[in-house]
Amino acid sequence: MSVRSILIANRGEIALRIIRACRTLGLRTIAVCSEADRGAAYLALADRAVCIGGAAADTSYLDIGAVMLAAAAVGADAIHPGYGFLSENGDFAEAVEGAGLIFIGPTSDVVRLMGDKIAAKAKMRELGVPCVAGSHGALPDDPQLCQACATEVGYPLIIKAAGGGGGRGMRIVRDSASLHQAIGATREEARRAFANPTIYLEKFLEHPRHVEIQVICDGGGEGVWLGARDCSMQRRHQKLIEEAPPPGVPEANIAELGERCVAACRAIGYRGVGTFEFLYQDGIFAFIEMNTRIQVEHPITEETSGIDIVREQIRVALGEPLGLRQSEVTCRGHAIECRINAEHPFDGIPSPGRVESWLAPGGPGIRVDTHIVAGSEVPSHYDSLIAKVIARGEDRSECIERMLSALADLRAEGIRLNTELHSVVLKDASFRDARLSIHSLEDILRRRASSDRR
Amino acid sequence: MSIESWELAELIAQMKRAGVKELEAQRGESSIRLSLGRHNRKMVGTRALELAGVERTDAATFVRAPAVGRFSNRHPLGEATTVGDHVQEGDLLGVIAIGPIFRPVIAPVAGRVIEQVCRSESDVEYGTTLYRIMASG
Repeated sequence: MSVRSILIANRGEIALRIIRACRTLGLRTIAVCSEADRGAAYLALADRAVCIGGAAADTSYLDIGAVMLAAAAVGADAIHPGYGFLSENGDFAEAVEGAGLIFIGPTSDVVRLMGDKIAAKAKMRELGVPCVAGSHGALPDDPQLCQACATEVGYPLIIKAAGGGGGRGMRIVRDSASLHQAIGATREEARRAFANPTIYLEKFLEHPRHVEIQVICDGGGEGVWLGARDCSMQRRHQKLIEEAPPPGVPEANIAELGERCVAACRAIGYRGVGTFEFLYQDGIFAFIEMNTRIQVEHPITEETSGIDIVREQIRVALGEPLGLRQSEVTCRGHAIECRINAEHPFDGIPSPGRVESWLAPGGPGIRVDTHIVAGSEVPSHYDSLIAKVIARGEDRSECIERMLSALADLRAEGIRLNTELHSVVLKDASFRDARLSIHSLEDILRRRASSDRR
Repeated sequence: MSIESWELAELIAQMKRAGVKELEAQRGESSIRLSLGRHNRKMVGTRALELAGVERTDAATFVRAPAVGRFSNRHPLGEATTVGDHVQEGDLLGVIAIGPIFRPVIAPVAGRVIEQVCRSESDVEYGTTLYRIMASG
């Protein structure tokens, strides 16, 4: 099939990023929007924009029927789901395939496989990707069997909901006395929040880093990994600052892991971009999950590898060969991304509203991915991410200096930004010295709060 | 129009698979409308009303498009809606065609059609104003 037009089933900065990638391939873009986004400046940059539903995401960006009907109405050949919303929804991927359109992502069965955290882990373990010790599947109902499993894995451990994500539906257990109560509570939470009471347990790592590998495959057996990222700087399980490469992790270890990830992709016939997420502690990697979509933090890998990841993602989805060998991939320098959210910097309270004025930073090594212009509305209905500032440098310290300068340049009136939070983190000695863990950011904020009280 | 139970089951399954909440199927001269409402409402119109964000002013009620597609002021098997028509709440005022699928445009209130804002056979999106109705009573 000759593909001419792509429907973008997303909004904001990623919708604009996809529009730009499509343009380099000579593809027409149809951006869908909700009533809350109608009239947004970035929509004018698509070849066509159509409103498909109400402001509430479940009547627009999350409504499979509305998106599919819009695709039929405008005659789209392919659908790009972006990140979030329907991007990892197996039913959506299947609906797109069923309509005879191209889903810009893996096949629906792979989306489903990776969406089931237990099945994904089992598959990856089988394919030689390093995994954390755990129950290797759903916990049984029998308390004695659970107790035996927990003893074998060792405390502390963490109980997780199979259908969970984003930090919801999990509990840490430090001793056998509290195991059964924690199992019961998590199971009940999982039943209510995800309509799926399946839970599993894993060894809990006290101070791990979050390290991930970016892959891209063409579904025809060709695949490469494009380096690794460190996304340890998180708050309430939401990534805030990401960097590439992960400081202090030996390149040889990353290369070995990357090869394993690509081999696993080949084994399951993976097509598209994907990210393997790992916890990393004491030199050991443990697979957490795979994201079968483009990620928010993809630009830092674009900056270090020189590869337009979104463009390649679209190309391979349209059936073109990757045309890139691992030996041709070289990552140079260092890149950091700060997620700019419309929120109060230290308490994280959202700050929606009209952006009265907007001044984005620039200069050597600075890239800003955003859909915001002066006059933009930041609706209260969606995620508060409105911009990404990406700094590139020869090394990490140059990168940090450039980022601090860029953050000082960033100005917005009418809404609050979390810029100051980023500056505090980037200036903190623990970040400067790359003493990173997924708890670092919370620790920095705690130290700051206690010094304020003194 | 006679429809076998297995055909109905198949249609409903297809709707669920595609995430479509309302479907109109045609065979020859007759048609059937299926609605998979989560709230099991009697009136499709009430759901459409909710979805289309009906706006009422003192002067009139605006009827807006429930989906992206091509608007027509008549169902192929029915009469065209024209200015001056008196309609009941829930009446069919037209359709939004998306290929072979029709989404109904429903009168949100009883009253008189005082304006057809959108030309028939033109492309619309969700929320496009189609008619103004002066509510009766």
